[in-house]
Amino acid sequence: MLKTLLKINLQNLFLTMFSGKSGKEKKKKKSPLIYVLIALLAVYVIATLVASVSLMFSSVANAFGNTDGMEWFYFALAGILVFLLTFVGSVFTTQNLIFKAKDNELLLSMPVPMHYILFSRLSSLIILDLAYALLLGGPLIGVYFYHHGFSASMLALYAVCVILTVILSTAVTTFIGWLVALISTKFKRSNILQTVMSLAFFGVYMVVVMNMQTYIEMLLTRGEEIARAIQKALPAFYYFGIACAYNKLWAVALLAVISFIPFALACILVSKSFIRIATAKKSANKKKYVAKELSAKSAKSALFRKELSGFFSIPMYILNSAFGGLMLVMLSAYIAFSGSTNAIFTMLGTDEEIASLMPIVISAVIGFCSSMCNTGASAISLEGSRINLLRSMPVNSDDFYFAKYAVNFVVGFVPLTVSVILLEIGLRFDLLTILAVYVSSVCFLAVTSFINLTCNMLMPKFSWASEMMIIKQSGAVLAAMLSGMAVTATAFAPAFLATKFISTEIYLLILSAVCIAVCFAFIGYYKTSGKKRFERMSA
Amino acid sequence: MLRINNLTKRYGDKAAVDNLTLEIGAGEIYGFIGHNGAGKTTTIKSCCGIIGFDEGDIFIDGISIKDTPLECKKKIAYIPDNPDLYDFLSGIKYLNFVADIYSVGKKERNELIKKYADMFELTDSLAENISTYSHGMKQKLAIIAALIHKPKLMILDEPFVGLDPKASHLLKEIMAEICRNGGAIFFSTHVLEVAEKLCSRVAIIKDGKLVVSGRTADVIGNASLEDVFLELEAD
Repeated sequence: MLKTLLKINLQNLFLTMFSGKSGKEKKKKKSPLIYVLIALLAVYVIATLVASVSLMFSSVANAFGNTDGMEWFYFALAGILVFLLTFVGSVFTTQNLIFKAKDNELLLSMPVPMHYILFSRLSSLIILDLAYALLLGGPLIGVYFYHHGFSASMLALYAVCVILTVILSTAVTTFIGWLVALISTKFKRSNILQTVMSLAFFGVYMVVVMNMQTYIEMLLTRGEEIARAIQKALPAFYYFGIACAYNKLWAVALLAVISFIPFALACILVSKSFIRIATAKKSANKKKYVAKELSAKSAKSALFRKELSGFFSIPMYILNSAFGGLMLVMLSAYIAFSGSTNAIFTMLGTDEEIASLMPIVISAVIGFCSSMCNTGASAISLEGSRINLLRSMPVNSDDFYFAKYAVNFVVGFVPLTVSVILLEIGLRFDLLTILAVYVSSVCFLAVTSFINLTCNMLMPKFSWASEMMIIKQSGAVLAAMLSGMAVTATAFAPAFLATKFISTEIYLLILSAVCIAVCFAFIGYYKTSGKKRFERMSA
Repeated sequence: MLRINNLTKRYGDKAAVDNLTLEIGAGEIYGFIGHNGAGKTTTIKSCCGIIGFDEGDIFIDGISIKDTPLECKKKIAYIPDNPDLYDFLSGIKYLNFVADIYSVGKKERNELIKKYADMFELTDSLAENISTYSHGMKQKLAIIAALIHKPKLMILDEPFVGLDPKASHLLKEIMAEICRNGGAIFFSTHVLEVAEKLCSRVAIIKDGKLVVSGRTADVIGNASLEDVFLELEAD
């Protein structure tokens, strides 16, 4: 029974990520070119990630790998980073996957032991977290081997320790998920609570990311002091370090104890209150309807409003799909008010030619962040089985796509505008330059919004157990993220060559014109292929 | 009002609906009966323009759903077997959303929403989010949403599932009223007693093929609809 449950959960996870259209319709065979393109994009993103992690931690690996008595420190840091990444990656997913899964009531009605349900759900989460962990843990051990030579036993122990760390992280996220779910049952506006908590976590995460270089410098100068603190306060990661650096099995055993005890406790805690939370109805007082004159709007406007309400109703949708916007505003505010502006100019100012590229660099950063405002990448799939009802109504494909496109555009446009204002405060570009940056960024956002929506149009998935799976793990979202990176590189990389012949402002205006042309091409595509695909959409 | 001509819909090599022909006239309540997987929902979804079909055509009030789907959809209302509505909207926002989609006038929507919400005793709950509704309340909301644009043809998939006896009775009355006003009803059901009492015509479908259709009295003769259905299923 447990095997079947595990299989179903993993199958669901896999299908959400890689399967396209759902329903009874026979699937069309995808062109091999699509697979090649996706593979190339994946390689590009993974290579970028590996390269940046390697560069960042190369000095740390070099400094501590050969210091007597401090060899463990690098691995302890690796453990902490893996823990943080998997924690941030799944802290709110856990709550949704455990307590808000659509099949909870069905499974509870069957003679399935509670701990089987929980174990199967947590196991699929651990597998997903392991994939995240590999993205960071892989380059970190690679950097170490590069500096200090390969060791098979070290690699094996490191792999075991990463798995144990992921289990520890899952235990903590399960506990937090349980706590949030418990509070949510008492709270009428639990969405607000979740959004606030998500933003708080996000804020902490951004502070850590933005100050990473400072932290690394601090590690290099005050390494021993920090190591002592870790040894005392975070024994799990100390044992992680000892196990890997000195091949100590007793340290692995202690890490296992530290990981499995909280995991078991979290499972017991959740299983005790699972039924109550998973099947709870909000206890708040009922709001009595007071009749008011209803206003009439166009179908287009009604669909847009419905879409916007949907966006604001799911905290994780806001956090995941507006992540780029949040990051953009925080980065711009940092540049505007932290005084780092001078540092940027000093850095670039040594070479006049490089300094003149500042508007391009800024536009590229805005473009990249805007591309991560990707509500459109899951908006079609989130219709779920409601797509049938909508398709039975006189809704034309243009209005349907417009609503989803417009929400994606607005979600990107607002932070983009705020960030351009903040950047102008910080960087003081002349009027023509800032206008060129703004116009090109808006035009670029118009293109990436189309790309996001197109990814979902090509890979819709209407049957799902949890909205989280669509928002965080679907193939369309992954494809949209990879495409965003690729398109940003394609749009801005040529500037480094082109600006030898034309000014940065002219380059940005040409880019805007190209973006507008691409948008028209997309509109044409949606009126033909998009319409046909809409007519085939059903759950 | 609804004419299905030689409808064929295949999923892969299997024909879910095979050369089906039906005609539902104005003023008729037409019951569509068949075992699970017989092809009822596929036929209904085809009639509503939700899924395409391989052969044949469907005409709503003389208009082909293949050629002009939007015009057809303005004339129909569809109530699915599972009322999965937009949970994040309140009941009133959902009804207003549907009214906007069908371009229902301001005055008319206010009147009709009040009328049907009062009738189904849902008025007090309209400010609540649909996520807080029970299955029956969602079903009632779906029915009200289906009525606010005064459809000429109502297509319902298992409409009585989840409704309390009072709401079921009201729905039957509304169906009769639509027919009196020149509209038509086409619905699938497994409740054969309801079909026998309510429908002027019935059709029985088996493995995608129409087995029998006609006036209810002619189809059942001296037996009950249940006897006829079971006999046909056994063949």
